[in-house]
Amino acid sequence: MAVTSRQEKTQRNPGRVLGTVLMYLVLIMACIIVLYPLIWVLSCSFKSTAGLVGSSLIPANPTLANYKKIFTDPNVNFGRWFFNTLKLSAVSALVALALTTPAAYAFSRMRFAGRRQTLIGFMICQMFPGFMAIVALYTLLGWAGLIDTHLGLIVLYAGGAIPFSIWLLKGYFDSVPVEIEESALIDGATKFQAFTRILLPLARPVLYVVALINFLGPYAEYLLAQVVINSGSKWTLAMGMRSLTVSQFATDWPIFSAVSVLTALPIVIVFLSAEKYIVSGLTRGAIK
Amino acid sequence: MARANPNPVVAGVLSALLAGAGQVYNGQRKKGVTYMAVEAAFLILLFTVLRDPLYGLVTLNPVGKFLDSRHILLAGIIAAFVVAAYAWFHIANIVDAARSASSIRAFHALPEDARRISPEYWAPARTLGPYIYIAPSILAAFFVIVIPLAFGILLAFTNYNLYHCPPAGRFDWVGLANFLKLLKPGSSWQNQLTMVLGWNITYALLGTTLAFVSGLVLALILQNRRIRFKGVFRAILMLPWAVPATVSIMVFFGLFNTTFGPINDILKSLGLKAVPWFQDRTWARVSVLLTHVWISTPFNLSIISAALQSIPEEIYEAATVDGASPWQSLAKITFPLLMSIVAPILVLTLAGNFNNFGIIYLLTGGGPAVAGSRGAGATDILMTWVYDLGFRQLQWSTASALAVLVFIFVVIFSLINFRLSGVLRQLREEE
Repeated sequence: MAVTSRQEKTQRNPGRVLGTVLMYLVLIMACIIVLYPLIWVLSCSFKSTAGLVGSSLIPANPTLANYKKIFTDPNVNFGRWFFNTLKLSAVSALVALALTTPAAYAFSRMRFAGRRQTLIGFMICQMFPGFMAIVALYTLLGWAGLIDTHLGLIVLYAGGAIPFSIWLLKGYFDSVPVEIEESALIDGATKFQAFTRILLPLARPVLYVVALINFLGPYAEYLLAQVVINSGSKWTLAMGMRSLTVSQFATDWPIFSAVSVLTALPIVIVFLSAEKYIVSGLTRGAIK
Repeated sequence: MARANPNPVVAGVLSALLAGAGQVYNGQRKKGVTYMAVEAAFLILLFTVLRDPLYGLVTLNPVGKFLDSRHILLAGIIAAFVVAAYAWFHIANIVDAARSASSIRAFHALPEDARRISPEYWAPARTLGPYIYIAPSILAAFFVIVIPLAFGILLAFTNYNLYHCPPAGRFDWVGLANFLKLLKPGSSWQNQLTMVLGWNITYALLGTTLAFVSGLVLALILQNRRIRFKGVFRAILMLPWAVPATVSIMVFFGLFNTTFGPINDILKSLGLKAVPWFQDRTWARVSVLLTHVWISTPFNLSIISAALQSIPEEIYEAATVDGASPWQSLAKITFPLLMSIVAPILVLTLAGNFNNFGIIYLLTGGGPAVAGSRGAGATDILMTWVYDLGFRQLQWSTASALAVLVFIFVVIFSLINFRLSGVLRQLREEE
């Protein structure tokens, strides 16, 4: 199946044709299953809030009222949620990157006491169920006066991203040949210069990937956001969307749909344009 | 070099008694004095700032300015880590004194002309360099990950619940009581744990397998040379990965909805009966699995595609020359090679799915409810049950004990993964 030699290709026997048809059928079925929920929610966002939303994919009386409402209705403050979410995700991603890049450099290029233990420690950290930390995080944030602040949430997002980011960055740095840095060191560069002037430019793709992954993580995160943030003015997109689904009124669904379309759209665009890098960034260590 | 022939044992013992003493004995004055200063600083801290928190950690009694039990525990943990860090330093200092002594000895045993090489070469100075690079990450991870986790583990050994709730109340150490309660045969807790664990394992295994199989089928088809428009198909099939999972789950919440959801509409128009998706325990579980497969297939598809492309073409050509049918090369070549590549990722996903909180919390909320239960519903996995126990029922200590049990499961999974992927061996070889 995975391979067909040229010889076989020319012998068009009926079994082969049937196989091809079957494969197309599976693909088309899969595409319908993938697309239906997406198109449905898109069409819901144009349906009027009166009456049930139903299964039809073409709204009877398409309207932009839902989109207008999410920007004007004080209860559905999409603009505010979106701005809050962007701020949280972007700052968390940048902080995580700034913290972990030098560390990953040390783990990749230097040998020191405690190196292996720390790396394994980071790996073990990721195995703990997140809940175990929540009570303590809530207490710690309360102590630091960071409950119901975006700063508190940024600290959690950026801190939580550290182990994974270090492993990903270290894996990439390991694959960059060390010789170029060594020759710079011989020419009198300091280790820090070799790191910032030589390795970082060479490793630019993985820096983008780590920043992007750490941006996408908090973007639709719900659990921690809901624990830390209370005030409506500080809500994130995920919190706002959740408030629209739990109300259980079918009439809110078109509003929810409009919010989720606008929430997902920028991410889908960013993700699809960077997909190649994300996939290679994630799999580089595992598949050689 | 003050001493030409230092004794490693003496150096070690001296450093054990007082950090840096062995180094001074070796003639490494600067280092020795620095180490002594570190020990002095630690001892001063131990009897001033660290004393109350350490006392609090042992007794959980209010002490000094720590009145809230949670604060007592947290401060105690931080103090304990400071002590542990110093202990590590002290041991490293002993090892260093002994090693330096034998290096210096070896150096002086060399013939005169060989000794012209700097003694630093024989007893290289430990530099602070790497630690400066990793310090920011370590500190952040320490406060955001390590301390909270230690707190979570220790809570499992307290009676922190509705009746012992700071700041008004206080909680105490209760030893293994929470674990015994959860594991006591025949108790309602144990029944509930068995039910939740059973579904949790089923969900993790079935969800991972189904998503893997659907990813595999699609990857194999997209790999086939007779298929056209691969780019278009691939782009569409990757969409569920691009949509933030939280959004997808909430959309599925609407799709399955029994009042306005379109899935039941479609079933009815096909002449089938409407399904009580979130009201019936089996259907609720099916809805969770279907959502999971929809969301996770693209990830599997992309991993499997990447792995398939890494299998060299020549192997297939050789097999075809030897007369293997396409099915044979799939079963005997593609599949075994593929599995050896993706197995570690698969086990990692399995461990991740074991705690896949979002999908259950946002889709079914753990429901439907089960009669005579301790709050766990039919689709609750351990993590969502833990969350419910903590945040809704305020049984923090029981919730934490459960979380510790979850952790043990995940560690077992992950150890298998490490063994498979050889991460640990690789790290050792790097040094």
